[in-house]
Amino acid sequence: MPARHLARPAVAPRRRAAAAGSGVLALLLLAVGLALAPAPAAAAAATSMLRLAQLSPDQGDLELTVSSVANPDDTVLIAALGYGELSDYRTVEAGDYVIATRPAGSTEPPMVSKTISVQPGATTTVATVGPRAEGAVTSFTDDLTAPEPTQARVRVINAAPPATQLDVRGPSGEQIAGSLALGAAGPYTTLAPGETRLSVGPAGAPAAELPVTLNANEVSSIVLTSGDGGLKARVVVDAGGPSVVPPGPVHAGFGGAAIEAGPYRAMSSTVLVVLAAAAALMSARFARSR
Amino acid sequence: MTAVSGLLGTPPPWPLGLVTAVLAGVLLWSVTARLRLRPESRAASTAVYACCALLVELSTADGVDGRAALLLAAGGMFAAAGRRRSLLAALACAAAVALAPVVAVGVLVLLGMMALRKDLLTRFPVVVRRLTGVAAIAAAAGVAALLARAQAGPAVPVGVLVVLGSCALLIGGASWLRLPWLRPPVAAVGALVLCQFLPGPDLDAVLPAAAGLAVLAAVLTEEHHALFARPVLVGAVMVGVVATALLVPAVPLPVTPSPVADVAPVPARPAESQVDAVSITIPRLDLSGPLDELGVAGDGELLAPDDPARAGWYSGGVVPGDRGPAIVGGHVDSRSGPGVFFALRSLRPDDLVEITRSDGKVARFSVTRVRQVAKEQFPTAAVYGPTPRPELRLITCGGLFDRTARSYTDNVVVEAVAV
Repeated sequence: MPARHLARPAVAPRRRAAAAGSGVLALLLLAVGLALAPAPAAAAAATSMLRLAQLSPDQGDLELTVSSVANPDDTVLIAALGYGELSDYRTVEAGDYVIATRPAGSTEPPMVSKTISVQPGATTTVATVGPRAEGAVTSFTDDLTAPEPTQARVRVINAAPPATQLDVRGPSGEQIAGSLALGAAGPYTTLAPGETRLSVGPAGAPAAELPVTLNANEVSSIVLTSGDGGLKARVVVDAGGPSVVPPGPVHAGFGGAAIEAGPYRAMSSTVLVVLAAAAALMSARFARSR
Repeated sequence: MTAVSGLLGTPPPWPLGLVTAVLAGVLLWSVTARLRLRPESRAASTAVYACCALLVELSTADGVDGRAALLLAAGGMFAAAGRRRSLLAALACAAAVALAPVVAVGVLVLLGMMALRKDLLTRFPVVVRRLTGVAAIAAAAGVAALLARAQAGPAVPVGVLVVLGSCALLIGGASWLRLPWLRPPVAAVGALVLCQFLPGPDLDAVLPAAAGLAVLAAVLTEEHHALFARPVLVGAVMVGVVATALLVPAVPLPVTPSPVADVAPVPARPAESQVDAVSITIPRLDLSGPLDELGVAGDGELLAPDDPARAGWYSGGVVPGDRGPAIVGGHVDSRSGPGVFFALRSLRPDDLVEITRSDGKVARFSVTRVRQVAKEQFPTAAVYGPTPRPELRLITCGGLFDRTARSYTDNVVVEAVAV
């Protein structure tokens, strides 16, 4: 039969073998390609966040400047807050910052300043505490970890002078915070969502019943303020999410553009890879023997 | 006769389709023998065919339907055997076209090339023959364009298109006769580069295409002296035609439908929410379209949109632009081709996603993370957990498709924060 093949000029066997070899190499590539898993996901960068809480009843509206120690030009302004209010979070780079407060809209030098260190990925609340004369700035770390999807996660912040030591109890009498100092934040507690009542009062004294409304899948700070009407509780949502969390994954594909899984895939791949490899190897052998 | 009608009737289930495709490959080996191609060229062209079949088998949900390929390979046998059996060959080709209209593309190209190569219409004037050849190839391009436009057409994997298109380029390109040893790597690299610009297939689909191309280029390296000789030409185009026939997917294996899909969506919408998400734009993916509302099934699971071509937002959750993670879901594919979120996994950090709301506001988000997670380990807390700022989650399917469960193994989750 060879005599009946196409008439052609002689080709160096080495080149022929190299060409056939490249075919085999290509098939190896194919096998490697099929074995490759999808590219690993890109990792998320840890962002740090900062916000201001205005917990001084007699200081009026305050604004906060946050200046990076490493780069003083990098200054963020968190604007105008009334008593008992918390600002939205601002994203900042991790590092040391000088925090300064001043009346909203003024250009006068800061009343109070403090240096804080922001950790990578940390969420921090900076609070102005106490009356103007002895005002101070404090900070506490917020934990925005998700609660159980059907639960609400809360903590209490005492911003109600002159109450220096407050006990806070939940609807069924469980302690949410004990002996909470002025300007301090209590630990996080999980509560059932919905309308509920907190009992708040100095240790050993009669407690006030304060209504609060909590939503599922939310992390909140309950800020206790004092005023003409006595103690008030104000719910500030730190982090919110859907109140109904669908369980499990999402089935969003019909397979029309899919790479198939399961035993069929392995079987069919094997059959075809063997066919392709056998043909390529034969090609190489014929080429070498010529 | 029942065998014949069975062959032409309902598409075969998965394993039979693959067996038929393998048979077609064996027959193709005989066709190239009849064409008196050299053994190494025959073997290499069979390798190209097997690569194509593998590509189709792996990149379509329902696998290979080898019937059209088998008919075409048989047609090639008849045609190579002599003029008297040309009628049988024509009948086999017609049956293959009836089974799979996409085959017409390859057959028309083959006829056009044969006319141009003086293998057809030999008694007609040269002008008529050449015009016919050009017309046939133009008609093939027209049919291909029509099939590509019609959404109901076959799901053509991009990788296979790359293989076939590059085959045509290689056969037609007479300019690279020098440095033959460079051709296989150049062809493979070319295919890889080309696929980089196409959304969707990753290395898994691109590498087989590159491998097939490299094998073909290896053959052509050997054969360049006789590149335009009739048997080589016919053999090469035959491989292309038969591979085209593989593009018709087989029917899926029968499965019990999942009960979840049959449950009517439960509106999970909070009454107080007034604002809707109206449309989504992802410039990087060239994606822009309206948003449906997503509900949850009776068991609470989030339902994907009914229409694979449209994305939807979970209206029982957070409105995009409000505090918390807003959820937008979309199908990765339909039964016949890519869905709205097919290219979602190719998003990268810092890519922009815009959601237009019914109050006129446009919520703008910047992608922070793209990840593929196993459905058994779906990160519910990371997806739905509370966040201090407005965020966005785009969800679709990914990973491998389990043909028996008719479900993907993974979810692709894109996390984005408001900017």
